[in-house]
Amino acid sequence: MTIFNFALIRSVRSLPNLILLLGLPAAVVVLPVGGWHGLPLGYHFYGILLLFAASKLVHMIMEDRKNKILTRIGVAPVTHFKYLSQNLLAFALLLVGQSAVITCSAWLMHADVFGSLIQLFSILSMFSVTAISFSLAWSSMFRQPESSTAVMLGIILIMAVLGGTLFPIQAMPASLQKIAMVSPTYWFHEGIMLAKNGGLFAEQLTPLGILLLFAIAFMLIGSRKKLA
Amino acid sequence: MRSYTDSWSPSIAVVIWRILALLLLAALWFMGDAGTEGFILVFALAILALARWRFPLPSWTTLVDQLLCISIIPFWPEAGFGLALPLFETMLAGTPLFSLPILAVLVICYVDPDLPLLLMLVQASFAGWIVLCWSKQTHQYRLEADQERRDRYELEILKGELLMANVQTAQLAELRERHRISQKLHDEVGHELTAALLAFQAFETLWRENDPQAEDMFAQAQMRLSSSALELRETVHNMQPVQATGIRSLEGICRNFKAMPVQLQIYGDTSRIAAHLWVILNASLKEALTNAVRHSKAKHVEVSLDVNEHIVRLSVQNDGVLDSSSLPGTGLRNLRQRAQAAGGSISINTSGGFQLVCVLPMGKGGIR
Repeated sequence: MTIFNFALIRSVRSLPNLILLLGLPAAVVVLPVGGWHGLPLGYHFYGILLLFAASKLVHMIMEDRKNKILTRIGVAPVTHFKYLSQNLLAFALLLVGQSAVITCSAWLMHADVFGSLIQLFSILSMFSVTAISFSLAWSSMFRQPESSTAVMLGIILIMAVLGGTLFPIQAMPASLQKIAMVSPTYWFHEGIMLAKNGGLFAEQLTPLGILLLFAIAFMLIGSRKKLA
Repeated sequence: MRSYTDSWSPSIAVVIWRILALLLLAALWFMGDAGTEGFILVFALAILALARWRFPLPSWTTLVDQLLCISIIPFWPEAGFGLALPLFETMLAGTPLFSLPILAVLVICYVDPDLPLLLMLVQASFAGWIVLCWSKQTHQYRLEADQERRDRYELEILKGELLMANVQTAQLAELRERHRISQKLHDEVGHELTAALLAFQAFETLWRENDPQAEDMFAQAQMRLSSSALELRETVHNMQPVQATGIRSLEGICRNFKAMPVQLQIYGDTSRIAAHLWVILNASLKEALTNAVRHSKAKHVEVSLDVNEHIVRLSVQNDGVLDSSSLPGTGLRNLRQRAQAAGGSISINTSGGFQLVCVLPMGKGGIR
């Protein structure tokens, strides 16, 4: 698990990453309840923030590819699968850990808002995994990390609009509401709302399952590119 | 150069078919009134297609696709169109038996099957079968091409070895001939000369003593000398080859070439050139002269042979106009290989007529 340990240490070594991983939960938690959905604002935008954090973390794989580190790893007795899986596991662990902190904060500060904290934690951690695999798939399509980041920002904004982060999805036409299902953020919001209402866990299984499908699909696309 | 991976291939056709089928299913979901079930089905089928694009999945995995479609059909009837994907995959894998559940579904659920669905399924199985045949054929052609390439390489290697063997045989023949001559000189001429010498020494002793046998001894010595002279003449006569070799063969080729005047100039000591090199030099001269007649309208040919202690250089220059379409042919290619086998090289120059230069090393090491 050397690569896993290294990826973990490397992720928390730079200041921007530390701010994203530790400062972000603080900012998310302190924002007040507001908007049309009755959620604390921080939790409402947390999906988008997770996408940014994931793209920042996966960026390290792209840097490796650009700096020919991946080529050097290619000649070592380490398979590409091992490299990728241990890196992604480390990133996932960080984001799931962050989700746990966010869930604990919800229990401390917004206990009246969320009906089920287990549902909240499960949807947050599943979306973390989806966000990481989405960033991986996205970065595998670009040669230059800079161009990937630039386009990624636009794509995340479109996903935010489609998923119902910026305005209620019910305000959109019916056809657009159907297209919104193609965006993972839609299912994230669906899951968050279910967690807020605190219904049966079986209801939560649909968004969880679909997010898992998204994660698998993005992983299949993203793991194709091996060496630069 | 285009490689076969750039061109239209069965794998690209498979990807395009899968995308089109998934787009059709997505369009049916988008236009219909199905909700999450339809979305999950399309998405799951897309993931399976992605997995097949990424890894070679076994045929039984099509049962998963079929199970998904069959379980969604009660909620969303258009999910039947999704069956086209597993049907295509089973046909593509050459295992149509795995599509039996599809037939069962058709019989049980659609007693009155509608035409578009049937058409879609028939089209899917036909497309799968066609692509399967296509990929089999491509594979077969590739195998044949590989085999031919391998054969060609083996032939090239064999050719090189034969050329090397040729040079070695020539050298061996030279050694044997030398050995034969030395043996002949030693056994016959040398023997007679020694006998004559002994006879003269005996004669000298007898002559000093005024022995009457001295005269006999002198006659015997004379006879031995004349016999050894005859042996020597015969040996030399037998050594003389019937066919012209060396520089004479080169001169003969130039003399017998009547198509245009040939000017031959020789510099250096041609006796130093080994027998196997003469074979290549002759072949080069013949090839260059034939080319001058066949491919250029030359009026004059200049041949020059330079010999120094390291290399021998044959240059054949004609003043003709080279046909721009003519490329180095088989003759020149073979010649080049023969020169390379002897450690030398053949080069051509087309500026101002056509010039062929053959450079061969005198030693064994080749040109450095």
